[in-house]
Amino acid sequence: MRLSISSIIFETSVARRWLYSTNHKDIGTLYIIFGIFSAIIGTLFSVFIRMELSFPGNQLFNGNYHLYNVVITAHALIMIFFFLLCLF
Amino acid sequence: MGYRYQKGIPFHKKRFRIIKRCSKKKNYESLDWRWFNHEIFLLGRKFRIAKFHKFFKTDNQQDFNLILLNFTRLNPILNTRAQINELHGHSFHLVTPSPWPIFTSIASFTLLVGVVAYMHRYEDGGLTLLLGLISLISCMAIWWRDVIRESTWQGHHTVIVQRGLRLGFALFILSEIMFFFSVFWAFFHSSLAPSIEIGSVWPPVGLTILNPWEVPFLNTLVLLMSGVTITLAHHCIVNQTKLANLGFLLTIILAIFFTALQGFEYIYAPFEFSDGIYGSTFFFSTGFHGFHVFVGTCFIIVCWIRFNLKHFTKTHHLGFEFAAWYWHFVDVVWLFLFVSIYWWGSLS
Repeated sequence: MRLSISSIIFETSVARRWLYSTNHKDIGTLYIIFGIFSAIIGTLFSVFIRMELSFPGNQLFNGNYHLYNVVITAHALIMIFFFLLCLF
Repeated sequence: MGYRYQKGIPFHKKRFRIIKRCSKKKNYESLDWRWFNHEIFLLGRKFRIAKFHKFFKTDNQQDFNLILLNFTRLNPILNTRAQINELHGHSFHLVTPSPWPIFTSIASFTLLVGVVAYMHRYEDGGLTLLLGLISLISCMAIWWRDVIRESTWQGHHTVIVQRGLRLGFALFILSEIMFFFSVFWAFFHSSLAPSIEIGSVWPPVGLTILNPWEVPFLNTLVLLMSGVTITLAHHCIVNQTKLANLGFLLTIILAIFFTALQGFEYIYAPFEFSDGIYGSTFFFSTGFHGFHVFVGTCFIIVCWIRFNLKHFTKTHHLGFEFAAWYWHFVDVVWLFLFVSIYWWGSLS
């Protein structure tokens, strides 16, 4: 292998380890991190939905029912494909 | 493809020329393995293994040992589980770090956002779509170029690696089957118990539909024929005859003929995508099938090119095998489309 400053920097760089990885253990770690992050976002959306429904009338979304539907759908997709599928 | 060397000048007079042509310098360390393999490949199966020793015998022993070592270790054509095992202690392919997975992810995400933005008529949605498409196709081309380098030129696809790849491609086709299953589900959901809005009949009231025994039946025959010709190509690769070129050519002509016929059907169809549930299910299912035919055609064309570059051997031609699997899968999907949507769907 040719040794140069740039190649040494590349070989030891974070990008090579984590973005260009073909190591299943490293990829698994990335899945765990991403799954936890998605779980937090999905839970946040669930909290938004419950806050909207906690009292009669408009609460959180200011009468924007389209946004409410979008949050419901996003909650489902994030929980299934970005949280459950990544972590289990 | 052993025909070139099996007649004419005797084998033993050829060997110096081959070595000379393959090495730019006098010492054989600089042997160009790509051309060397090419030449060895042209020698044909019976010379390749059995007369391998005779091939190098007349050179001095040192060179012979060096070449033998490199030949058995690095020659992708002769690579076996045992030889790769000797090289790095196991016969698995540890893929080196690659930028293409993350690049492909970014490209497909851009494509997805572009499609949604375009369909919702956002400003520059089409531009995003185009950007995503171009970058995705570029990533695919470069990634698969690397796969060819790893398999054909570096010999990483040992028997055990091939087993994994076969399983992977079978699972990919299984996922495609599930996709088409859902498409057929949508069709039968709407057609088995037609709703009151379409007159409680299938095909819906007021629609003129296609006669299945005209162009669709011809399409069925064309695809079945292409299944035969791709099998011809396969057998010719296995038996190493140049007739494989004919098999490839016929398959691609039939594939393009099918796509053209479908194109004319689309243009002259008496209904549209927006003509209710009939148009939706018809164009969604046949459209996705047509896209798969296009992908399969590209796959076979790539295999044809690779065949003429001598990438395929008698026993190791995974790329072609996968193209054939994919083509047969597309063929079977068409049979189901023809029987259920064109034929059964036209019986009133």
